[in-house]
Amino acid sequence: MRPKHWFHTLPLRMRSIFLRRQAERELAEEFEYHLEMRIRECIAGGMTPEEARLVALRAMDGMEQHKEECRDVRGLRWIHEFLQDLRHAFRIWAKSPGFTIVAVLMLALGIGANTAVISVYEALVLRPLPFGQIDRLVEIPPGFNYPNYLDIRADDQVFSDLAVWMVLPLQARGANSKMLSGRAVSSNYFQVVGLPMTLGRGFLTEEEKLSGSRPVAVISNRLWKNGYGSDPLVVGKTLKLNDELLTIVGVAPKELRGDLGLGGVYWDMWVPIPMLPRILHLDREPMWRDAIENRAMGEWLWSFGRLRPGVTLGQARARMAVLFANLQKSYPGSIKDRSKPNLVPVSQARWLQGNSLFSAVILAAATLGILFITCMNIANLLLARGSARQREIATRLALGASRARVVRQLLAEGFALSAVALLLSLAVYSLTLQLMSAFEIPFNFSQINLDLGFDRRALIFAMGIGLLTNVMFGLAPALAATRTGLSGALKDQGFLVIGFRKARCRRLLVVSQMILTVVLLVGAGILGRMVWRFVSADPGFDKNVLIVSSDLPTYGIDKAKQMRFYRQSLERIRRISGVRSAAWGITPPFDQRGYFAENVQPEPAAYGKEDWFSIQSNSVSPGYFQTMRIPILQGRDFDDRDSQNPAGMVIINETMARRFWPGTTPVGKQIRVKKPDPRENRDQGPELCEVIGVVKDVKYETPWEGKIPYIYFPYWHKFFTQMSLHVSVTENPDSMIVPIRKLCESVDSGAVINGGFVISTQLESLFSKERAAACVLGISGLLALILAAIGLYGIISYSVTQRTREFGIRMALGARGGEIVRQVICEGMKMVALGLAIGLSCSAALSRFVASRLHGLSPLDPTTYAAITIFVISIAFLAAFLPARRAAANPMDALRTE
Amino acid sequence: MSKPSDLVQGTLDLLILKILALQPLNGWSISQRLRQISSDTLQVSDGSLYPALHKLEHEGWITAEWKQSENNRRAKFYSLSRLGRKQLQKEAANWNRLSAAISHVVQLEEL
Repeated sequence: MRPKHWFHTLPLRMRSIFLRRQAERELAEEFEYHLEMRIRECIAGGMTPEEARLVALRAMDGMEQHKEECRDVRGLRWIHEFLQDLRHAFRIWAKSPGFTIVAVLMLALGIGANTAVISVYEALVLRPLPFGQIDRLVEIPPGFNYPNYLDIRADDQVFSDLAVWMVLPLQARGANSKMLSGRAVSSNYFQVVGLPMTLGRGFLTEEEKLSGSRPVAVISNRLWKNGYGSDPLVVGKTLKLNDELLTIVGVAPKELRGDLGLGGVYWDMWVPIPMLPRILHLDREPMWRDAIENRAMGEWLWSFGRLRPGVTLGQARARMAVLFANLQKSYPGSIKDRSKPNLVPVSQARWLQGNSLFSAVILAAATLGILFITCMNIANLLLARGSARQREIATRLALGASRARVVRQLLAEGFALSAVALLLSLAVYSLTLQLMSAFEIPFNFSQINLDLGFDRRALIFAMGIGLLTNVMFGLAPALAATRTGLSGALKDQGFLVIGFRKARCRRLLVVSQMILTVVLLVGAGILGRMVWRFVSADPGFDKNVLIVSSDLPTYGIDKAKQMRFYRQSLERIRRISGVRSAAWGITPPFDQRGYFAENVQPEPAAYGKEDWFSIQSNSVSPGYFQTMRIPILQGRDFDDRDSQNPAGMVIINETMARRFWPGTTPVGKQIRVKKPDPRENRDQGPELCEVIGVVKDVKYETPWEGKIPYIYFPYWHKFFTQMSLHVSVTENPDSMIVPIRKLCESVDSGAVINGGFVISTQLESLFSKERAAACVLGISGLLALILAAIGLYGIISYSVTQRTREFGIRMALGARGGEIVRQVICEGMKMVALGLAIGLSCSAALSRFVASRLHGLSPLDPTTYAAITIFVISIAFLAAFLPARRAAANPMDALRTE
Repeated sequence: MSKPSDLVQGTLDLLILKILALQPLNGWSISQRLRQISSDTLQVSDGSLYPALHKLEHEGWITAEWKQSENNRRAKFYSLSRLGRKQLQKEAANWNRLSAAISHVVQLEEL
């Protein structure tokens, strides 16, 4: 009945909810008054009080029914009943606190963890990219040098605006020698981004002119907050980048943290591309001076642009192909011939396929698995309780409760459980978020960190999961418990029949839990084994060598000064006690920033003149091989005195020797090294170098790489402002980092000394994702196993209790206890075997998806599968054995329990 | 909700509203008054009066208040609300229309 004048009757309704007892009292009083008046009337008419009371009650025509009708008028009966059920539910749970606490905790963990994973997924994948009108944005992966870009931009047929950024991040020292990273971009970058600036403006077209333009920069919202205290007058102030003072013209939109490609990278600043040489001091080096204007500079710019209204992607591709072809014609070699330019809508972000998705999927699979298992277990326990309460429920049904009413009450019990769990899960959720936000994924120079907030969607999701779990673990047991016939359940025999039907359901639960357990454990096992195999493998050098990086930005390209710094610091470091040996090298092992390669040709040319081989290379100081403990197989190491010798020299590795000089000794042979001249877009003529030594192969980039030819140059031949110090130490490496850094800084205060880590930690960090995944899978797998074992224990224990009489009779007839125990265990192990078989096949099918991350380890690695099978079977055996022992109790006791 | 069988559907509400329009009364007095004014023609069982009262109260047409009764006992007194007065007019008009129509039909048959 819907009240028409709800506003007028609202107080009445509130009263009947919240002051229910008073309403009840008044109802009783009202009827009582009427009754009394009627009695008085009858007595006055000459009846005895007893007679009067009977007549009055008869006149009432069923007082209790009429009272009930009055209650129905309130229209709130279901609320009362629900509250009643809840109270009842809390009483029931309070009776078995152990079970309740475990169930609530399991649920809270499951819901909380899932919600957190959803938040991560949201931050990584679902959060919109920081661009206005994203559907018109397309990106063109690296494809331009600066002059080519300007030509393409001048064509306005398809793009209303086309911006570029430099592929390599810009690194420079800010105030207080703090390293700042950012992007060199075209002047229209912020227009294409299409979001309002926080303060000031983006770049102007004239700030893109190569000569005489005023040095300007845009700083990021983060730098503005952290470095300038959100100063509203920051526009017009200066930003120092490597001795160059730039005027801040604006603060970037706060949504723009990194680029579109890298969801979590934070940049500090953006500068116009023409600022590059001045900031990086490239202008002092003739080779780089005109690099920006050079069409032979390869493809160092990444571009993205806004399509004109009405222009389709296909049209844009076609037009780009024409433009590329024109460029190819006018400046041969300045652009790669692409008949199909690769234009990608920005909304189809390419990082969807990246590592973040892998982690998110693994995490989601594991947490959903846990939640599922948790629900199944609680359902299982409720089923067991349901059968224990069979008689209570049957009595209720017999007394006239409808089935719906009893189901509702049982559901309320589940609801009470999930409501408490939901509250707790919010705590779990925020805790998990904090943990995950604190965990920064190292990414080259910068840090990816997720901007995780306590968001509403996740909250709604949690509630959704909470309700779903409630239905999952509450509804089935409730329906099952009320399905039975009355007479059967009231009589004791009915128990066996019900028990049988329910047991099948519970067996299914145990089997499916076993499957999930095996899948999770195999995943963890394979990943873990892969990590262990590569971390423990011998890469061919000493993994305990300490690496400290140095950067000499202020030197520009003054080679003599740099060499002096490298030599002096090396001499001094070698004198520190605890240092066995030390050397410089450009690329430390397992560095993820990329490698140098040289185009070389062995002499005498056994190959055609134009056959150049691109070989990975490193530049090292004398003593490098001794420090790294890489054996020199033939010839000798570099020597400092060699630096006076104008002739070039190299050391090669075994594979290189075998590949180019098979069967002969390579020492003394010559190789030609291509020397590119970016300005002229032609070779200066190759340089001849003599092979002076051969060293053993080592694994440089990854521990799973094959045999790769490798060349070492002496560091006076080729070097950079950034080099890494390799130090072999006899003492605890961590205690050596600070003295080494101090010493380098004392040689020159301009040097920026970074890091300090042992190679093996770098090696381990290569596998950080796989290790995290293995941990998550492993922990959830173990949890699943424990839960499955508890489930198995429950079933066996239940069945033993149910069949006490049967076992008693059989033993009384002469069966031996051992046999009965064996039979019970066998029944349990049948389920385990079934679960294992299905689980192992599922794993085998699923492991294909991680095969690409196993680096040669078979996804069907027999050791892992065997170990997990044995492990699961032994735990399951224990879970079955403990309750099964009771089956062989004294037969007389068993019979007497009936 | 069971209705007193000898009352036309909905007329009990009308009667209660009409009685309360004269003065606020408690349940007992309402039942007495019903009997009096209809000279025992309309019989309403004691019990079935109350669900009807409670329904009217929840519709917002009558309001209830605990007061001293004539014999110095606490009793629940019902009185007509502003909404109830409107409802009474509407229902009375309805009733008149309906009863006039019905008696017209009944007379037609006798001719």
